[in-house]
Order: sequence, then C-alpha cells, then structure tokens
Amino acid sequence: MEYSPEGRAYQAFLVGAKAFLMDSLYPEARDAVADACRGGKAKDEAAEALRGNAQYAYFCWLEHYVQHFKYTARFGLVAEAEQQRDRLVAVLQNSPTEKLALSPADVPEYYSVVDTHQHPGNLHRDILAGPIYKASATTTQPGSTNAYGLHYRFTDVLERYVDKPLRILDLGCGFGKSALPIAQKWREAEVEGVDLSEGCLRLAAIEASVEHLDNLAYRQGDVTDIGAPDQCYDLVTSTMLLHELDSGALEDVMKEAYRVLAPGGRLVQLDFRARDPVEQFFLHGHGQRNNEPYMAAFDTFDFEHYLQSLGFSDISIEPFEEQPGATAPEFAKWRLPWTVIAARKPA
Amino acid sequence: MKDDVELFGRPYLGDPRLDRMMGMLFSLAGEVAVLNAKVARLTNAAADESAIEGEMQAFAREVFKPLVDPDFDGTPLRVDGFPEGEG
Repeated sequence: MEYSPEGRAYQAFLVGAKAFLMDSLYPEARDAVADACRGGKAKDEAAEALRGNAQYAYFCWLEHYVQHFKYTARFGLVAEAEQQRDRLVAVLQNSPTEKLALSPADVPEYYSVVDTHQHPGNLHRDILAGPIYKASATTTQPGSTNAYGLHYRFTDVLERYVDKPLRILDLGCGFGKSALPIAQKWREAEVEGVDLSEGCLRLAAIEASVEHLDNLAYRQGDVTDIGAPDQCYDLVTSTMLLHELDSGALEDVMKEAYRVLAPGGRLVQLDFRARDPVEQFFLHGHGQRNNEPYMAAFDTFDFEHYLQSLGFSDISIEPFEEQPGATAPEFAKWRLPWTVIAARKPA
Repeated sequence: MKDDVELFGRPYLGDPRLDRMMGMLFSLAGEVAVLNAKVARLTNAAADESAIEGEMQAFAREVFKPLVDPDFDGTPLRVDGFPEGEG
C-alpha cells in the first residue's frame, strides 16, 4: 500500500504521538499504577484507586485513540486504502495461486464479533484488510527500522527448540510476517501458514513469491480445525494469535496442535504474559482499549496444566526480548510482555 | 468484581465531554501536521520526506508535552500587582 503525501505526514504524526505515549507518558502512568496496585490490591480495587489520576487517564486515552485515528481519521489507513482500492484489489486478485489455497470458511464467532485492534470490519470482511493490517502492524512500534525484526528474532529463538524441522505449520499467519522469516531460515523445510483472512493470505502469497520462497504455502482456514492429517508436522508455531481466541477456541487450538504434531515435535508460540500485577493491569487494560477482549482470560489461562493434560512435556514459559534489553528491569518504555510458550509432544 | 469494560473503559478522562474535547484537539493537531507537511513541501523547506516525517513526529511530541508537564496547570492566573478582588 502506498501512502499519499498527506497520509504519510499524518501517520508520522501518529507515530510521534505513540512514541510520546511509550517513553514520556508511560513512566508516569506506570508509577501511578504501581502505587494503586501496592499491597496486593485486586484489579478492581487498583482501578478504583486510579480514578481521577490524570497521567493514567491520559495514557489510556492516547493508547485507545492513537490506534482509532490510525485507522479511521481523514488520512487514516482505511481512507488511504480506499483511494487505491481498484489498484490494490487488482494486485491482490492476481496473487500467485500455486502456493495459495483459498476456501472461504464459516467465520467463527470469536473472530466475527470483534473488530480486532480496532480494525474496522476486522480482517475478513474486505480484501483490503490485508494491506491495511500490514500498514498498521508495521507502524506499531515507533523507531523500528525493520518491520519484521521481531519475527526474525523469534525465528532465531525457535532454534533453541528444534534442530532442522522439515514440516512446519504457522497458525494465524496473517500477511506472512511470521511464516516468511521461518521459511527463509529453513529453506529445506515445507512451511505452511493458515489464517482466516483472504486479504492477508493473498498479500502473504505475493510476498513469498517476491522472496522466491518455494517452500512456503498458505491455506485459508480456522486454526481450531486445522484440516491436516495426524502427526504431520515437526514444528507448530504462532505469533500473537492465542490472545485473540476465546477460551474454547484457545483449548481447541492446543488440542489440534497436539494432534498434528509428530512424536517429538514442538509447539512454540509467541504471545503475551504479564509477569507482575502492574504489567497485568496494563496488559488487561490494553486488551480493552485495543479491542482484544480475550486478553485478560488468556493472560490468566493455566497453560502449564492444560498442556500437561493434553500430553505435552518440556513445557516452558519464558520472557521474549522483542528488542535488545527490553526485558531488563531498567527498561522504562511501554511494551507488551512478550512471552514464548513452548512444549514438546513426547516421542 | 466489576467487568473489565468498566475497569478500563470509557470515558477515559472521567467525563465524555473531556474525551470529546481531547478528540477534537487530536483531530486538529493531525490536520495541522498534514498542513505543515504541505507547506514544507511547497516551500522546499524540508530536504526530503524523512525530514518531513521527523518534523511531524517532533510536532506530535510538542502537542502532547503539556500532559507530562507538572507545572502546566500551575500557571498563575493572577497578574502581579493587580490586587485580588478587584475588577
């Protein structure tokens, strides 16, 4: 997606506002939340203690509305895409088909009832959702010079769990920002991405073709019913998928992952997990402010026991550094508590 | 326990009118940013697009700076030498 000069200037303005939120407003809001949470207060008591706190209120307002305006303002992403609709639709409809299997499925309720990330119409109602989501996702972290940088870091982490996987499944792959680095790292592996969004998958197929990744294929489908044979993958991954699922879908995905993994195969997922009450307060609030309503339930889901109950072993839940030094105690900017959740299907 | 929508929900500033006022300010600031960029391009005041983007980001920081300025709401309203209670 190309920006108009006005759109580019407007998005730069929003990036500046987001950067201000992350490095100037957040430290003060964090102090206020830490005070409110002191003494082991429950979430609702802490919220009550924060009532009337200006810094926390400004933080919440900006967090919600920077994202809101990013999509819906006069020079927002939706308007920018609309101006290019004919060209973008033509490009997307000509996406390479050899490695792309589209089969419009029933959209599950957990997905259809939410405009995730405040994306109008969510990611399945309009083919332009693909390029719009990509434009949004690649401007979320101000200062990032590599839009896929976090995913390359995650791909490096995968090497701790697997040696040379030959069959890899990436769940909820979106426009391919997670599957593409994996396919680049293991060229000899067959990598498959599954997602519900046709617009995202078409964009992903174009990008795989541009990168000459013959080992990367995409398929439209629901991650709770993968539609693959038993025991056919060595590695199942997901990034930022699990917190977008309601509790039933979350459990179904884990079950499906266990079913399709070969004995000895690994499940490695990048998502969010709060490490302390303050982080939890911000994370659950972020879920509300950014239209990710399953975030709080996901954050408190007992992964260890649930994965164990399915038969998984070697379960680990560890912080992930999306940028160098991000998990250090002195890191003062706002960030999401990135976490790697991994498990092994016994051989 | 209250549900999360109430815990973290709107109005973020405690009053829907304040939220709207802040929204108006944000919209206005965005329009000014776009206008600034147009002027910079027309007058060739900026070397390239990345310079314009940097300027827009700096502009946003300037707009929102009062939110973290502890002295901002301490501005004296009384003019020195003007006795209170008069006028």
